[in-house]
Amino acid sequence: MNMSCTDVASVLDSHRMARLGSAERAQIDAHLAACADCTAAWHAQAELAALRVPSVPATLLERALLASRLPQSAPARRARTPIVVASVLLAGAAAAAVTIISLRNESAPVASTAETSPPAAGATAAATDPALDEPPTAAGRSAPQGDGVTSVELVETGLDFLPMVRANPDYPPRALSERLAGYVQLEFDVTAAGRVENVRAVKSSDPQFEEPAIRAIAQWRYLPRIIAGERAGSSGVQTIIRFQMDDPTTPSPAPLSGEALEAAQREWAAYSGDLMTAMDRLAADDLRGVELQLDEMQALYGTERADLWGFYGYLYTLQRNFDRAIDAYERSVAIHLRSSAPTSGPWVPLANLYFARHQYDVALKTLLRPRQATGVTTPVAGSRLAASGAEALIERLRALGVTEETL
Amino acid sequence: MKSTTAMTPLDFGALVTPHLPALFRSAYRLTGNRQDAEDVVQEVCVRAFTHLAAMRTLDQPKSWLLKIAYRVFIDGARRRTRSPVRASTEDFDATRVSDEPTPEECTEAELAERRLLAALTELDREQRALLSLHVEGYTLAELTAMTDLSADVLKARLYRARVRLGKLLAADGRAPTLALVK
Repeated sequence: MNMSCTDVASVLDSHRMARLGSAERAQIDAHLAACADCTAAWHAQAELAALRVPSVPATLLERALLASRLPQSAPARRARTPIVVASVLLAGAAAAAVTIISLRNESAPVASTAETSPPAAGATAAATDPALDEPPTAAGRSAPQGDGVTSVELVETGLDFLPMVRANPDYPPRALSERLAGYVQLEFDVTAAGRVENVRAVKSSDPQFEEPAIRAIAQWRYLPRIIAGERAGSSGVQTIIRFQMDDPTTPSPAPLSGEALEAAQREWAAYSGDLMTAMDRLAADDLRGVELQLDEMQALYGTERADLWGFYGYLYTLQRNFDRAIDAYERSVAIHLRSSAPTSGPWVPLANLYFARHQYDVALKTLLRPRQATGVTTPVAGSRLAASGAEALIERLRALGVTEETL
Repeated sequence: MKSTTAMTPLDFGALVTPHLPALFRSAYRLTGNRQDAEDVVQEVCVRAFTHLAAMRTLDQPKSWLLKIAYRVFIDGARRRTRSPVRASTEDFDATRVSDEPTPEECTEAELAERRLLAALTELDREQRALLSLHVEGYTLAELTAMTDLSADVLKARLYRARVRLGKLLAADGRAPTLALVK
């Protein structure tokens, strides 16, 4: 009987090289004599098996334990940035997702938990999930107009999907020197891979803001909407990017030194890069890789990052592991509730999960929680569009007889 | 996705220690030198630490740790800058691929190892990882769990990786002979 290459491979695969009977061994030799590939394979396996491995270094455990604890004790990453941009997502034709961000002056010293966020050099704009990603503050010493510190507050959102990775637009130099504020309303598509495409400016306060806004948003990444368990593209998504500097008479409370700012910017770049890796793996359908990346990011950046928990929730939803998805989203919204922007959490996806599990009361309560937390009863600017994701769900709940009154 | 609140380094050490030798051996085969192997082990520990609670509930923490090691290795040297804890110099052994002694100083066996480690670096990372983990004694079933590859794909890739490695070794002047492999 002749042996095939598969038979030989199977002997190698099953670690049986050294445990062959003489008859089988003879058959293999006969095959090897005639098959260069199997000879190479056999040889390689023999060499591999013969490789000596050094003994475990005595101090390995100690060092591994030390390394495993380092992320938790990593240097504080807190810092603030001048934020000159806010983002407003308006519901487009196909996208029922809205984020509204308002601007407010930041004058209080930072007391947040360590978070990474986009550092914006004095003149650079930053758009971010604000309360959670306190961006490192540049004192703006290098900026033509000195201190410019404005932070962003996310006041209301009813999102199906959120921008996960955001790039900072550059503040147009002329506008900066004139301390000119402005906005750009952009429309674009989000692909099933989460990329932003076909960006165009719908309108703007001044054309000089358009180019930097378009350039920045083209680099953003979104968690694509999940439709029937699959990631799907969305077209006609709209966002407003605001360019704004604060009152120059209010100096920054705790400007970062150049060195600290650089460090914060590096940190932010690393964080964004890590998120980008996760997004790339998501786009490549490597869900396991996404999870490992998120695990690693938690180890690096801590477990108090609402956006990471939101990403976990998204991932587990994709994997149809709804218990874990709910758990992760709950962690995310809990962090949001403790922040100054409780409404910006993944309330809608969380409520949708409860809805899908027929926990209608819990779904409605989930949607109402951020409003109760803020005392805001009506969404701010663009209100009708603002909470459309939430409103759609509330309507469905009403149809089932679940309303605020019945709770 | 667990918090690390209830975990102590002590618990973690107790859970990880029994698996360190296997982890280190696999990492050494993956990387081909002690320093990188230790970096991989450290990286695995860093990632595993956030999962202590889940790890306690696993029947096979070793498989899980090795799966992380596989992933760390496949993902490559991307993060090498982040391994802040370094081995002291005396931990480095003589079998590192770099700074090797002259051939005259090596025994036949050492030469063979050196050639093998050099040939391994010519493989792509996945090939190397598959061969390394397999030769550590894992079954195909365990490897499929570790790599998320199907059994058929795994078999085919293992075979191709072996053929390629064997040919690299042959090209390196050690033509395989049946006498050698018997």
